[in-house]
Amino acid sequence: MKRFVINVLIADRVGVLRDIGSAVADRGGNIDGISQTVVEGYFTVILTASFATDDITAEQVRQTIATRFGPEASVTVRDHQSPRDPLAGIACERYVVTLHGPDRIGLIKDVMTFLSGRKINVEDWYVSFAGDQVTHIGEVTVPSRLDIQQVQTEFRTLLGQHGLSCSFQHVNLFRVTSEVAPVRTILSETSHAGSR
Amino acid sequence: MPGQGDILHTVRMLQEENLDVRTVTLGINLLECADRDPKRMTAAVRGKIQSRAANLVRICDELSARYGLPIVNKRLAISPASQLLEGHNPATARALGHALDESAAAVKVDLIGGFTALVQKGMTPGEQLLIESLPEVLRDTRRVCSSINVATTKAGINVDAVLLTGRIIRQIAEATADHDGFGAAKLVVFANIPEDNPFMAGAFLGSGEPETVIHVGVSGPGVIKRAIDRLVQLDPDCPLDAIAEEIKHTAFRVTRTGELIGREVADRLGVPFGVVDLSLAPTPRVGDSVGEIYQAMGIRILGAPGTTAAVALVNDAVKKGGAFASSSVGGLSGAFIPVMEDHALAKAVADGTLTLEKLEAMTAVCSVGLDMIVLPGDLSAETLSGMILDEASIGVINRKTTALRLIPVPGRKHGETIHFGGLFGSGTITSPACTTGSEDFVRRGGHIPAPIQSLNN
Repeated sequence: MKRFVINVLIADRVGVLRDIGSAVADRGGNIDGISQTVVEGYFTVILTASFATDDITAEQVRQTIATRFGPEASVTVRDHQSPRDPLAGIACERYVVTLHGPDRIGLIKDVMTFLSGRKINVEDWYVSFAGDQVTHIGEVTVPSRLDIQQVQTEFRTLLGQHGLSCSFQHVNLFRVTSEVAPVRTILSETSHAGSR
Repeated sequence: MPGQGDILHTVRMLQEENLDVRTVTLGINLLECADRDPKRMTAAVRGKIQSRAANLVRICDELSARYGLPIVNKRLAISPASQLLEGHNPATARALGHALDESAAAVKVDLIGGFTALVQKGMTPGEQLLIESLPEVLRDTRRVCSSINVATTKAGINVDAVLLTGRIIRQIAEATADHDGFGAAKLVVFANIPEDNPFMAGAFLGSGEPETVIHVGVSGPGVIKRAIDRLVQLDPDCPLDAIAEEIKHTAFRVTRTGELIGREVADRLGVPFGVVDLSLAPTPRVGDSVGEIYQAMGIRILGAPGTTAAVALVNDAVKKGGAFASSSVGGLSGAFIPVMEDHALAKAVADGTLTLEKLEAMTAVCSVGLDMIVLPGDLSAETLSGMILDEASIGVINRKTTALRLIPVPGRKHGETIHFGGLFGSGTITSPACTTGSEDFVRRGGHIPAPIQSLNN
């Protein structure tokens, strides 16, 4: 049995995912993980697919998919190797980060340098623009040993000097205000997923 | 991850619309502290409060940081203090007041409620002692809050207690005359007092409550007002049922934040979680006003005909949203109309568009009553008692809580402005359209029987 990680980047149109799915299925593969989005008109997807046979290579899968799209698509396929969890064994909690204000060169670099310097791992990150204003929303994993008040203060200081407002709040606040599950259930799920 | 729109909505509620947890209130049962020896009794009171509440403020501050959600007040509510005063004398009542005040200070909470007497059907010596001690206790303490329940739907109205309370309110005001009668702002007179209300000054731990319990009061008039503003901007002709729906959905979110905080505080303190009280409690800040909600709905002049209907719509929609959000909703849960603490209501009273009589009508459909009303200092005890009787009657007949915080300001007259500052705000002295004429009725005393529970029209 072989498993691959597949990434496709192409100008968006109707049926891109259908074509990828057909290519993988034609080769006898089953898609078992997927994350897809469209950014500024470009479709991108990262997915994992498992094949029953060992007699298939990453290059064969890449060619099968690339053939469906032609040269305008960028297709990358590599063997799946269970990656090491960057925060394995460390007690962590999930927080949501938002920032809003004027965009500038180096903003993402500064924010990511801040987060990675504190061993805070980015799980999801979205950016949207309205004129010269940018909004970032990210979900991050924060080691429990960090003083969250200090992190928040330093984050505000970093962004405030460039005129951006920001927030750094535990994900449960957003879950309870947007899901209909009982608050008790949401808290219970969090306590069971306290470390990774 | 929650949806981006949901995240930004919640962030906006916090950063732009003044959403906060108004109070986390720890209820503590002090009955085990009862003792014939005043020193042993007050020592036990201090010991129990300071041991049970030692970590309350620290835990609230930690959770406030975790969620980026302000927890404005951390407070205590005790079992009725009158129960500790049976068989004691006025000196013990004063000593108990000081013990409560100092214990609250020791654990860094700003107010402690429960200097309370439940006298709807009759009055014990301890309850009478507590009520008669109020002028001194509320003058000499900063943090102690008091409440007196004079009526229930089941028991009717104790008119003797109402008469005594009218006199005591005047005495409290006179005892604190150098602060414009501010002591009276720390006393709430109730009909159908809730046993799990976390809001001051009326919080106390009811007899049906656990040994210790966390109740949370969530506010958020600014959030509701902005939600209506957005709706009206999108659809200037939107009907009232659309506004009710918007309020309901917003109340859901607000209630959930309260339950989140309440459950986590309770868990960390190792005590049961009680209720979320979703009450639209204004502060004097612009953008944190209940009056502004009614204005956003189209009541351009507060007090105009239609204002009572607007209050009813908001109160009901808030309850519906809260009830869907959580099965742990309790307390008062509705809309407060504390005149001095709400700049829009205070201005309407100053302008003369919102009269005491209209406010009284509004209390028939909102969650409390005539709250934070500054009155002329020469208003008689009988007239104050008449106001209490009217408000209690609304509560008793309608099977709801009503309450009064009446502040007769010594030496001041109708139309003068009073500033208490901080959350207590400022306001213009108002008075009933008719200030005399019910003395003979009120002085009869006795008891107004409980209302019939059938033939309800």
